[in-house]
Amino acid sequence: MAVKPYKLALVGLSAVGLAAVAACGEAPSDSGDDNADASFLACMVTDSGGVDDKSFNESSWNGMLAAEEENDDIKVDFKESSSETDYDPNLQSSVDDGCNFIVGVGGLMTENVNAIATANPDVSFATVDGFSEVENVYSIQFDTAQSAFLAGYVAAAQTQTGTVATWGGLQIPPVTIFMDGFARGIAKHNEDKGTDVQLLGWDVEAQEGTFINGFESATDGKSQSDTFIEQGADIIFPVAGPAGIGALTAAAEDDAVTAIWVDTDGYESTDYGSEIITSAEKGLANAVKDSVLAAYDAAQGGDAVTGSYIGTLENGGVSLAPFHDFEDDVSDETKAEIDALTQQIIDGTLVVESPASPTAG
Amino acid sequence: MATDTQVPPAFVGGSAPARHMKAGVTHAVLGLFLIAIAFAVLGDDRLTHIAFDRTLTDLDWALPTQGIVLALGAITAAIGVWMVLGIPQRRFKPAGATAVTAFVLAILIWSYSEPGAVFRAESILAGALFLAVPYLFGALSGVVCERSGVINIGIEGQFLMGAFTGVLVANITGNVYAGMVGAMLAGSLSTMLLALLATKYQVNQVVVGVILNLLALGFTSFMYDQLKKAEGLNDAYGIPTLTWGPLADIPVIGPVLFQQKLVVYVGLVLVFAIWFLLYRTRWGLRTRAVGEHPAAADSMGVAVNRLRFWNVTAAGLISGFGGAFFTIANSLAFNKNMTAGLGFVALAVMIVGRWNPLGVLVGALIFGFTTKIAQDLDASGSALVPGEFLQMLPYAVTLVVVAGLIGRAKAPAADGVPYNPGDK
Repeated sequence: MAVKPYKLALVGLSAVGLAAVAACGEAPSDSGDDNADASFLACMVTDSGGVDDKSFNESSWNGMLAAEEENDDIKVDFKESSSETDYDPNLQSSVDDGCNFIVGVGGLMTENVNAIATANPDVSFATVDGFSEVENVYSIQFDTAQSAFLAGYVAAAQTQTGTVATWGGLQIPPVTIFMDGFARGIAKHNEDKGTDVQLLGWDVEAQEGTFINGFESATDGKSQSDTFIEQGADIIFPVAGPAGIGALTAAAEDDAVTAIWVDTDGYESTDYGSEIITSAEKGLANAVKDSVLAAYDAAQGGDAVTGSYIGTLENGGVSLAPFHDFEDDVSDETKAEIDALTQQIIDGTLVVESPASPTAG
Repeated sequence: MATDTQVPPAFVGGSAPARHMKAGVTHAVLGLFLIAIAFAVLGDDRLTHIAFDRTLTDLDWALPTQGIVLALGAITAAIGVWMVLGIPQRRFKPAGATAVTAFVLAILIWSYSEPGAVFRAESILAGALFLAVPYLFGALSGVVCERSGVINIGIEGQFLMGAFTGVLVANITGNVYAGMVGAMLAGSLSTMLLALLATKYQVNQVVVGVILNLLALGFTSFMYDQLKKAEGLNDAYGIPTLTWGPLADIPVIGPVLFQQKLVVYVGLVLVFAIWFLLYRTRWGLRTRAVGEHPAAADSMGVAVNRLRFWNVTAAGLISGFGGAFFTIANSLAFNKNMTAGLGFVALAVMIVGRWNPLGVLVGALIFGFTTKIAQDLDASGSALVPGEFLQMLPYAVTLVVVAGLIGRAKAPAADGVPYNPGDK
């Protein structure tokens, strides 16, 4: 059963083709070559989204780069996790690489960070979106219920159909806190303005809602968003990192539908700026940058960094992004109300409650 | 569908009544469960709303939930009792299918009677057909391969290659249809590797398939990271929804059949084309012969391994095109592992469809429908069933369908067995 030479040639060609396509990619650029002889190495371990996820991993990495920019004696590096099973090996190899400060991005990684921090008391760690009681772990948390509250208020003011929707990646506190804030913002608008805007996808009292079981599948995000649109929603608020792109494509296919983005200013970070009314931002980049600088200072004294950080509207750790293309669509009245609400939250006269709100422990 | 080989010869006439204790009791219990629900949980003021949301937007049917669930429960229970008492053999399967359908319908009508839930018939059915597309292409590719006697477990990998290459080619050429052709070729290149290893080198096909999946995952993930660094190589390209003029305004049928994307029509045409080719042409006869009894085919002058090689390579065109569903049909850019295991589900659909294109269509539609229902119920906030349970639904339904309704699914006899003309 000899295979004809031309078949072998075909297979050979396909192999060459694959190799050629592979060769088109550039070699990965060395991220930390700016400060080559720095004494302090800060490392970051990403969540499964990867360092270019247009969401919280990317923001955190930007914070690392900003720290490197600011201090010549700091060099930064990252390791990408493609699944939860990569957390431990990545954290361990960061320790083995001699990193002085290791940032674990994502609340799912907190337990792994705790374990490795306990085993390595001399190294400083940070956990983003999680709270840790371990001495040498710096907790970076955000009260994003506050920014999501403002986003929910805007959504309630902007909806034409009277129905808006949200869905999440996984039912974990860093996700549901957004959904809680969003729901309470809508409720506030209904209460103050006598509207009857419905929220699909999250029941704040029952703490139940729609989740697509992951942060990667934009395909699932797209079809879930389409389903919400069929049910009458005209503003979608996806809280799912890269999978949220699915909501933006669904909005792009339907002229009447828009979206509100999370974590970063979606107008800047995604290709769908014209669909995004605003974003419930969290200032990851600044918080991560500050943590790196704090860890550097502590290391100069021979200590590991301690403490925690909670981003709020007051300290600028969370915020509502500009309206960009929707600047003219959002009424001055709504803008004034948003400013007033912001002030009330900062004063403490208005508390946005969420079971997922960060605590200083 | 092919006649069943599992029917004992005594019942071939199909008229002798037989008792089916297990199936009968199960159906009777399910029926009684529904009747109990109707009285205990559902008040007589519960209504299930059905809407034709795209054509007749003003119409809103409100059906009395309690009465319908009661009636469907009675049907299910009655069939169960019939089975226990003795049912003619030829009525057994249709009766079982009726009972299961009645049960599922009752559960659906119950679920959609929760406050706020409306069964938007047109959106749900149209969405179900669209979501059936990847299963359809994956399973059809599997049918062509396995009918030829080669196990294609690498559908997931071909999906990934197609999804990735589709976007890449669309970006390079600026033409989304060129991207779809690119997706087909990429799928075909990866099955060609399987075909070569399976025929010339006679390697274990399951192992090769698994390896090809991992290869495709690694390759596309690596390339994705590389493409991120360059602008304009992984931008989203989409295809428009085709609206067939006045046909699209027919209630139910219009939105479901005449307002879909190109991939849906390609999938439907392909089902019938492959069915015709397999069962009505010389190529189909030879392919099935090679899958059932290669030695016999060989002695009749069919070049077994050559036919297998080209069939498997051609099947890659189908699964590669199915990969384009994930990116191009959804107007999405490529992302790592975005097929999320659907290639394996497509394999299950192939088995549910018993290696027959028409069966595959039914299986894919069941999957698409349950997936869509799960999403819709989850989105409507129906408190009856928790979201996690809903996500399990498509898989649970497959198990019930495979185990309960289809029974023993029989693969082609020489499926996965390398053929070497030397050893007979």
